Formats: sequence, structure tokens, C-alpha cells
Amino acid sequence: MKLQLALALVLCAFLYVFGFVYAENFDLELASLVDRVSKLYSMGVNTTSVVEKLSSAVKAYDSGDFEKAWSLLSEARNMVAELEKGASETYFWLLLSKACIVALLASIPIAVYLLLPRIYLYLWFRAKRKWVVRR
Amino acid sequence: MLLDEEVFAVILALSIIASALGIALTLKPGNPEPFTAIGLLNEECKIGRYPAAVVNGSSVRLCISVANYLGHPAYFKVVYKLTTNETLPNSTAPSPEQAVMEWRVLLNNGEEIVFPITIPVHTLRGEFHIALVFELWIYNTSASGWSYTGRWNHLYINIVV
Repeated sequence: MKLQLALALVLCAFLYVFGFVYAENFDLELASLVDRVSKLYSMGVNTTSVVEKLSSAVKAYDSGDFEKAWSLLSEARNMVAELEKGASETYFWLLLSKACIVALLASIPIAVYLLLPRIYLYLWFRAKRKWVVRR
Repeated sequence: MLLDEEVFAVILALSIIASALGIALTLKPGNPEPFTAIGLLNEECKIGRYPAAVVNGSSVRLCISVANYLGHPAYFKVVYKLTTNETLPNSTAPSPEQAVMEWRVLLNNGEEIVFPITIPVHTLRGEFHIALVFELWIYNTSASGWSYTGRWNHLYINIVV
């Protein structure tokens, strides 16, 4: 009887520790993916689909469906790897588009300074071209 | 000059201001003031009409809302604890009481989630006036563990035997 009780206690302890380690591993794995997704996000990559996938993994884990949770996590890992391949290019285009916008905005005062008097004169003469000058 | 010089100067000044503002908005960091938020709602997921008294050992239905405005996706957990007035959390330390339940959520930047919960409520060390505390924790990858965000909500409740 004592032996059975001891065995049951050992089994309970094992399951408790195993469950704890399992949860730790899941958190660690998920967090490392979130970290990678954050980096992709800061590079301008659209990460909505990966975040949704990871979110589904968390929901599956919380509902006790560990197999589905790990499977979704694996899918998300593949998606992240795929996104990482094109991240540099996306980042380059993001920087380029920002540089173009800044250059365009910076050129507005110069354009106003150079073109406004000319455009104003052109429009003024155009508006008054039918006028007749009399002495 | 046909175009009045003063008018021209004003237009030029306005264009410089508009240009500087546009450049500042384009180059500003993604999220200058990052923050997270946790909210406690009633069972209809609305503010107000919270339960004031509950039978000892019964369950209470509420809703929790979590928002992420950190500027990047983040992994959160909401930890439910039963506390007394002396063991409430503060903005730097969580409550020393044991966690009763927890829920994990992963949120994209700017995302907010509201989810219903059913929690057990019972007396705590003979206290009948207790607080239901919900702490928001975030997974810190550099420390490989959960960190308390300093955000929490609590609801005082009377336990009826």
C-alpha cells in the first residue's frame, strides 16, 4: 500500500514537473518566434498572418490541445523563415520610399520659391491677355 | 513686382512649416509612447454593473480586455489572484498571493482583445471582503521569462456564506 502511494506520488510529481517544463518550452519557443516577428515588423514586413497563426497556437495551448498548438507553432516557424528571406528587400524599399517622401517634402519650399512667382505671372498675364492698353 | 513681397514671404513660410512638419511625421519613430493596458469588464463585456457579493465557492463571469501599443507584437498573460487589502499589487511589484488562473494572449501592435472568463471565488484566510486581482505580465525574451508590466485591475467583492 505504501509502495503504491509512493509510486502515485512520484508519478504526480513527474507529471507536474513535466507539465511545467512543457509550458516553459512552449513559452520559450513562442517568445523566440514573437521576437523574430517583432524584428520583421520593425522592418516593415506585414506580419499579420504569422501573428494570427501564433495566436491560434496560444489558444490551442490554453484549451489543452498541445499537439495542435505545437503543429501551429511549427507552421508559424516556417512562415517566419519564409518572411525573413524577403525582409531585407522589403526594408530596402521601405527606406527608399521614406527617402523619396522626405526629398519630395523638402523640395516643396524650393519649388514654391522658384515656381510661385513664375506661375503667378503666367496666370496673371493669361487672365488679362484680352485687356487693351490705352494711352 | 506683381506678387506682393509680403504675401509671397507668408506663402513661403507656410510651405516651409508644412514641409518640416511632413518630414518630422515621416521620420518619427513608429511608437513614441509605447504602453500596454488591461481592463476589467462585467459579464456582458461592458463597464459597470460588477458583482458586489458572491456565494463562497461559486464562480463569477467577467470579461478581460488587453491592449498592446508597444510598437511590436507581444506575448502576454493575465494572472488571476485572490488578495486582501494588504496583498494588493502595485505598479512595480505583483501581488505575493498565489495565481489561481491565467490566460495567455498574443497581440499585434495596436491590437486589443476582449475575452470572457469564469473564475472561482472563495474566502481567503478567513477574510470575507477580498479583491479579485488581474495582473498583466509580458514574456521577456532577453530574460527568458515572464515580467510583470505594472498594470493590474482589481474588483472588491464580499463573500457570502
